[in-house]
Formats: sequence, C-alpha cells, structure tokens
Amino acid sequence: MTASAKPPLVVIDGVHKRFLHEGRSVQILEGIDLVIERGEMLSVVGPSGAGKSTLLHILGTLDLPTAGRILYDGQDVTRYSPGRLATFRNYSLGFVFQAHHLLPEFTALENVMMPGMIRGGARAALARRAEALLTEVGLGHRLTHRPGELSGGEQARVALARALVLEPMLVLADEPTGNLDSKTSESIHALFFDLNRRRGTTFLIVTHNNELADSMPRKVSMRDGRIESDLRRFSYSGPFRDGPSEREPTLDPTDPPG
Amino acid sequence: MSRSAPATIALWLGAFACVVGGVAAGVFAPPPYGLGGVALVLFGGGFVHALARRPRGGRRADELRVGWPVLVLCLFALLEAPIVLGIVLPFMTLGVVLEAPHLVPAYALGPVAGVGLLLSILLLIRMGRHATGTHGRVRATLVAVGMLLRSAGFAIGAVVLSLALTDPNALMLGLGLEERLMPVGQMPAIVESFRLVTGAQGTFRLLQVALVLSGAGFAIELFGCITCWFLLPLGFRRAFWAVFDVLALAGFVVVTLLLPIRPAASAPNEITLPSIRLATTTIFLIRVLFRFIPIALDGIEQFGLRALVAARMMRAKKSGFLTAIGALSILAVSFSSCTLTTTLSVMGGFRNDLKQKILGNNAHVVIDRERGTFDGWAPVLATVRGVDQVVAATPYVQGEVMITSSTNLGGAVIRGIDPDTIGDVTDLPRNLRHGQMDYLREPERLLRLRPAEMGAGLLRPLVPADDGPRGSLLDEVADVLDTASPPAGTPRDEDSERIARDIDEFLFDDEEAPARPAAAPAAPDVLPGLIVGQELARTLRLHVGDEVNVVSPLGELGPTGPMPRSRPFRIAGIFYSGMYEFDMKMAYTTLEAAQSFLNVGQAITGIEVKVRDTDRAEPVAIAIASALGERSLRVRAWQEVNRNLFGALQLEKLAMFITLGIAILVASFCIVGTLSLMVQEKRREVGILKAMGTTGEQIVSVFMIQGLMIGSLGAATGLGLGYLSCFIMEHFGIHLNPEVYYIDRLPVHIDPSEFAATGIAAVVVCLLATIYPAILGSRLPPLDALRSS
Ligand SMILES: Nc1ncnc2c1ncn2[C@@H]1O[C@H](COP(=O)(O)OP(=O)(O)OP(=O)(O)O)[C@@H](O)[C@H]1O
Ligand SMILES: [Mg+2]
Repeated sequence: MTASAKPPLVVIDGVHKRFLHEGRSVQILEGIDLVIERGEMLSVVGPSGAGKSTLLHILGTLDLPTAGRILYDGQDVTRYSPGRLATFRNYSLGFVFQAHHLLPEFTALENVMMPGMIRGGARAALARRAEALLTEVGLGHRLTHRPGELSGGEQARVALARALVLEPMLVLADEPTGNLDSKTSESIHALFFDLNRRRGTTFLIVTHNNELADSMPRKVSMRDGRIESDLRRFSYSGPFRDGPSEREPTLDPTDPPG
Repeated sequence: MSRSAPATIALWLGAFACVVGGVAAGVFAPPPYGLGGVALVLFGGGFVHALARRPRGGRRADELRVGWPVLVLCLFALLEAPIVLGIVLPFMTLGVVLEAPHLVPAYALGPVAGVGLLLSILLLIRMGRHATGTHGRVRATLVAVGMLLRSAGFAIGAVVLSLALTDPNALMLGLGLEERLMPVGQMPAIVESFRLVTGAQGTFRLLQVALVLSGAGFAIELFGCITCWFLLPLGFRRAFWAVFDVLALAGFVVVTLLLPIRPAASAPNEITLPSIRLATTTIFLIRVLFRFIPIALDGIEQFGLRALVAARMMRAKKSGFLTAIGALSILAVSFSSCTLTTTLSVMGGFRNDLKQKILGNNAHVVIDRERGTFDGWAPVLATVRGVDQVVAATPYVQGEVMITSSTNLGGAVIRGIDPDTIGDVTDLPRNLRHGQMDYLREPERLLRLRPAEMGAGLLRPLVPADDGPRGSLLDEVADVLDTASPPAGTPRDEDSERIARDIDEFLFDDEEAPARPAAAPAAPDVLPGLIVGQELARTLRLHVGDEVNVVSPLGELGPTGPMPRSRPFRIAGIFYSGMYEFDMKMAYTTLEAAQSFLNVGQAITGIEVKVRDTDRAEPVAIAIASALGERSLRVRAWQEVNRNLFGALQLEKLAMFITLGIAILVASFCIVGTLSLMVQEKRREVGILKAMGTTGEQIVSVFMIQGLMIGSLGAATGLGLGYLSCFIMEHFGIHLNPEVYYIDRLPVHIDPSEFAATGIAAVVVCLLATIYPAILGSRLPPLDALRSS
C-alpha cells in the first residue's frame, strides 16, 4: 500500500540529448519517455550506437540531458547541485560502466570498498562485506590484485561487485557480462535476480545478450535514439517482497513518443 | 590537437618563470643563476611536454627507438671528460702544483670525477639498449643540451679562471697552501679576489656568462637525468638503490665510529675529516628519509578516504615528466627553506652578537636626567640597589672632550666611573687588552710599568698570521671574551707585544720622540689614569703609560667667553669591546677625576644598573622609576636606549624573510605545475571517483593533501639541510674580514622558533599553491573525465 502511494522510482520525461561534434549538432536521444517502478528489472537492448550508454549516463546523473527531466521519487535530479548529486549517486545508484573503469592504484578489494569509504564507513566492516561479495562473483582468490593484473572478465566482475556493495536502490549496468563466458554470466545473472528478490533492488541492464534480455521481466528496445518497444512479460510473477499482486502492469508495449 | 587547460597553464608558468629567472640571472649574476637554470628547465620541460603530447608522423610513440640521441649524449659525455679532466683541473691546480708537487695526490678528486663520468656513460649506453620511445628521445636530447651548455660554460670558465690564476696579482691574495686546498673558510676572500682580478682583466662578464651557462646546463642535465633514470628497468633501479643504501649504511657506521664531528681544538682548520663525516651522515639520513616515505605513506593512508586516495596517487606510476617536476618542486621547496633558515640564523647571529656587545658595554638600565647632572645621588643609588632584580648599580659622570696625543687628536666621550663597582655592571674590566683597572685607582703605578705591559694599539694583522688563525689579535680578544679571563700574559704574548712596540717606535717615534712626554727624561708627574678604546689608541698611537691631554670645550669663563679647559691624563689601559663606536669614542677615568675636570662638583650624570634577566630589563626599569618616585629622573632600559638600532635590525630581518619567502613562492610555482599535471594525468580516476559519489570538496582535499605532502617533504628536508649548514658554519667557522664587519667569523644563532616559522610558512605557501589545481580537478565533469582515457 505504501509502495503504491509513492511516485514511481524513476520517471524519464521527454529526454533529448544532442552532442556538438565538430561544430555540428548531433541528435543522439530524441525524446525518451520511460517509467521505472520500484523493484523492476528491465533490460535495454538495441543496435550499437542506438544511444543506450548515453541514456544510462543521463540516468546515472553523470551527464545532463539537453532537454527533458529525470525524476527520482518525483524529484528532478537535473536541478540538483553538484554536492547533492554526489551524495545522491553514492546513496542511491550503483553504476557498472561498459569500460569497467576501476581505479588502477587500488586492489580489487579496495575498489569494491571505495563507494563505502566515500560514504565514510568503517574500513573493517566494508572490507568484510566487499570480500564476501567478491567471493560471490568468484574472485575470492584475486582480492589483492590491481586492475592491471586482472583479466577483462575479472575486471567486469569487480566493477559489478563495486556497484552492488552498498545495495543501492537502482543498479545501472552497461553490458556487465559482455565479455564473460556463458557459465559465469549465468551465475552473475542469478545474482541479479537473487538481489532483486531479497532486497527489492531495481536493475536496468543494457545488454546484447538476448538470452538475458528475454529472461528479464521487462525489455526496452532502442533504435536511433528512440524507444522502439517496451515489453513486459505478464507471466512473470515478480520479486516483490511486499505484495507483488498490487503492482499491476499498466501498460502494454509503450508507444514510442513521436 | 588542443591542449588542456593545466598543460597550457604549466607552459605559461614555465615561460613566466623563465623570464623572471633570466632577468634575475642577468641582474645579480652569481647567486640566482641556479634559479635561472631552474626556470629555463621549467620552460623547456613544459615545452617538451607540450610537444611530446602531439603524436608525430602518425607513428606510435613506443615504436621509436632511442637511437641517435643516446649516441649524441655519449659523444658529449666523452667530450666533457677531457674538458673537466684536461682543462679545468690542471689550470685550477697549476699554481699549487708548481709550488708544492707533494700536494698533487690531494687532487685525487680528478680521478673521482673521471670515474663518475665513466659511470654516466655506462648508464647512457645501457639506456640505449632499451626502446624508450618519444619520451626517451626527448629526455635524452634534454640531457644532451644540458651537457652541451655545461661543457661550454666549463670551457669558458676554465679559460677565464686560468687567465686569472696566472695573473701575478691573483694567487689567492696571500693564502696559505692549506687554505688554497680546502678554501671553505676563505671562500668569500677567494671569490672577491677572482672578482677583482677578472675585473681588472676585463673578463668578469665572461666569467658571469660561464657561470650562468654551466648553472643552467647543470640544471637541465640534472632534470633530464632524473627523467631518464625512470626509463631504466625497475629491477635495475631497485638493485642500484639497494647497493647504494648498503654502502651508505656502511659508510655511516664507519664515519660515526672513526671520524670526529668537529675540528680538533688544536687545528681548527683541519676540517676535512669532519666534512667527510657530515657529508656521509647527510647522504645516509636523506636515504633513510626516502626509505621512510613508503612507510609514512602507509601511515597517511589510514587517515580517511582523502588521505588514502592522495597517497595512492602520489605512489602511482606517473609519467617521467611529472615525476621529475614533482622531484624538482620538492627540491625547490627544500632549497628555499634551507636558504631562508640559514640566512635568518646568520642574521640572528649578528643580532645576538650585537646584543651581547651592547649588553657587555652598556648598563641594562640607565638612570639620568634629560639634560644636566644631579646632586645628592647617594640615597638614589641606595634605593636603586634595593630594588628587586637589580644586581648592581654604579654612578657615572660624562662629558664630551677632545683627546690630543703627541701625534694626533680625536673627539671622545670621557666617562668618570667607580672602578670598584663598574665591573659589576659592564664588561669593561674584562675587555681590557692592556693595562689594569687598578691603575685608575693608583695612577702612580703607571710610572713603573714593565715594557710588556705597555702594549701596542697599532698593529693588527689583516689575515691570520703564520702561527695559525688564532694568532691574530682579534682571536685573542675573542678568547678573552669567551673565557672572561684577564688578558693572557704568556711569554709568547709578551714577545709579540714587545716586537710590535719596537716596530711602532721604529716607525713613528724617531723624529717625534722629543715631543713625547713619556719619553722625556724629566721625572714624570703622577697623572690621573685614562682608559681608552683600541681604535682610539690606534688613531692616537697610544700605549699604556703615555701621557695625553684632554680638552673640554666648556671650561671656565674667561674674558672672551668660555675658555677650553685642558688637563693631562696618563693612559692606564686599552680596551677592546668589539663595538667600533665604543672602541673609538669612549675614555674612562675615575669619578672624582672626571667630576673635577668637568667641573660639576659632586654631581653625576647618571647611574648604570645591571639587572638579573636582561630580557626583563624594562619591567625592572619601571620598578626602579616607581621606587625612586622622582619625575625629573629618566629611567630607561637598554632596549629603549638602543631602540633605533634594533628596530633597523628587525626591519632588515623582515625584509630578508620576505625576499627569501619569494623564493618559496617561486618554488610553489613548481607545485602548481606538478599538481596541474597530476590533475591532468588523473582525470579518469577523478571521473570514476565522482561517478561513485565523491564530492568536489573531497577531490579538492585529495589534491591539496598531495601538495601538502610535497610541501612537508620539501620543508622537512630543507629545515634539516638548513640546520646542517648552520651547524657547519657554527662549528667550522666562516672567517670574515674583520676590517669590514668588526667581527672575525660569521656568527650563527639557531633559533628553533624561526625554523618552525619557516617550516610553517613553506607548508602554508605550498598549500595555497595547491588550491587552484585542486579546484580545477574538482570541477572536471565526471563523464568528460572518464572519456579522456
Ligand atoms: N561525446 C560525444 N560526442 C559526439 N557523439 C557522441 C558522444 N557520445 C556518444 N556519441 C555518439 O552517440 C551515439 C550513441 O552512443 P552510445 O554510446 O550511447 O551508443 P550505445 O547504444 O551504447 O552503443 P554500444 O552498444 O556500441 O555501446 C554514437 O553514435 C556516438 O558516436
Ligand atoms: Mg554502449
């Protein structure tokens, strides 16, 4: 009940993004409208260059839209001050970059501890949690390795653990399992679903992996900066701890805005 | 490809520093030429950095091999060896070698330099085997340019110096051989001598050019070598330092066990061994400091996120250029705080010396009238002696007079004193070079003097005499001052005094002898005694026992107005206070003699008081004033009496602090450059941190902490080196020309509070310098920062 009274977790309202490239303006996102509810798991698919990463960056408040609003809990984060944004990112978001972006001077363990240290947590407790999480993604034996000493897939898993460690309400992941073998990918996906079920974490995952995209309850397809389709699987019973039945899927395939 | 803001700033800063340093080097040639070099390096470095960022010819940088630059380098190194070994050293040694062939082994320094060069050539050849890429080429070229400049400077310098050395007037202005070999104490004199000789030969400008060239070349070379060093494989560098540190440790243990820390009292000029010990210890301590840095960084990492990130960034592998200017900024901070503390200590030494002399020759508190004398002073004296903290008090009367000897005359202040109590208040009895205080009390004894007691005021050797530096009069005086013992009456003293007196008489007395009352055959009268300063004695050519006439301009009233009044006195003593003013102007006699001569009856001019704690003389003066309760009497502490003098000193010190503080400021430019580049190189990390929710304030702190670390390391080493140089100056003694400074060696006073102030000032300036780059870093938009990788 309480959940239904609240505004949706994220409302993307008419987001446009233009880049200036050699003096010419290039339109990358052309009016994205999307509503993400608490506890949802959605995949974003689309051909390369469709603007998926760009949308993710804007959602992650790392970049500003040229036009449009991003509402988290009804609050327009595009108007936040830099300080407030930093706190918001630290407390509410977990971000997995397409290029991983680990800190090269820190060990795998320290990289995973970093969001907690930025928040100001005690190091010992953070280290315990980070170690557990790294073991869960299969890196228990690589704790003291620096990113330079890790394989691409291992780096991806460290980046993932870093995004999950503070149990944020929304995880934005840009091809988190792009360069993992299928077995490891599957265990990672299982981790996503597990977290979603246990903690109600919302996941937005950009992927080229059709299997993963199809296994997700909601699948958003993008093409040329627009949303082409937004499909929900009705058979999916939902992970919601407090009453999945109250959360009626409201929309059929969303019309791409014109 | 457009350059980022920090790189542009680094370029502009470098260019600015280059202009300032170049102008400074041109205007005041010798000392700041190193600064000019540093500035040129900054400029060159910024330029090279900017160039290196442009991909050239579409080829990947690391595909290029080092090739020709290393060849050029080796060529220069090979050329330089004969220049150093073949031209400079032989010419420098020429004078000594001709005179004393047995001293040639002392020039083992030459082979040492040769071995050093050989090592550097080996290093370069080894470097040549590694693919070092564009960076390697640029750095090697930099070293080559530096070597070229230095070689040119050396060559010009060698020619100029050899010309100067072969000048018959030059040969180091009469220095002994030992001093020519180890000229530490005589360096100013030698520099002065070269300046004069080269000036006369018209090569002074050329010498300056050579100095600037070799200084700049050396700085560039040093910079290039530091950056090249990091191109060598890590294993090689680790092994090198391991061997170096073991040797340093062994050396430290050996010198600590075997060598003395200060020169032996019997041979204060034998400073070779203590110098070796000091140098070895310094190198060892610096290495310990560097070994300690990782441990310190580990410790710093525990202090929260900001310190952790800052320490890791400092540790991270950086580009060679950044490492080099980082090292350079530490050196610059270190160097400037070292000079600042050293200079302040020397100025403090002068101040202390002056204060000590003032306190020795003056009372701590003086009670007098604004003008005129006062009668009935006995109860006043008793009251003053009863005041708390007062150690002693003595009355005096004084007036301005002329003193005429048989050969000359001079103005003086005659002061009547109480010979029994004056010693409790001032150092006069202890400052007597010749004669005795007792002669004031019993002037008849002046008629039965032994010749040795008469002393000579005339002769004062300019440079240390043959029997070592302690042979000069000044050193004897310093001894007397130090030990506060009466003038030594050793046989040698008597000998030298007798000889001096003989020479004096031979020079001046022959034709004037009839005019000298002392030499007159008639039975001399018993005259009141007079103690004069050494300088006055020198001008008037006075000896103890000589008769002088003292003339007071304000005598009795004659028919045509006041008549000068004259009375003969006999010289009872000659003192040396160390203050020129005193030695030239003061003449002491007994209170009674002065009172009757000045015709003031029983009145005195004032009372001199000594207090327990000289720094608390002012409160005591106030206490005395209130105890006396008499408004017509002026009670002044020594600080007030000498206010102008100390005010000027204080101002001079402040000016010096500001001037040298500017050196720290210039050093902080280096820090601005270092941190700007650090921000540039760490853009991606900043972006990642921001994506994870790091606030701008946290990023600012991260970079400021790095600046703080650079500054603290620089300040710590700088203060250490400053202390070391003060220690060296204090214990080895830098000789000064007593004719100019009226003091024979450089006084040094190490004041911990000044060291602390310098350290704090350096750290604060460094911290301020970090603000701009740090804010620059914090303003990076996270996504732009991430894309930059
Ligand atoms: N800073 C920028 N300046 C100019 N164009 C940009 C910029 N960033 C992205 N683009 C363009 O925007 C388009 C979308 O990029 P985006 O990274 O969002 O694609 P994507 O959907 O994530 O593709 P992929 O699946 O390959 O990761 C691309 O064509 C890219 O060239
Ligand atoms: Mg992408």
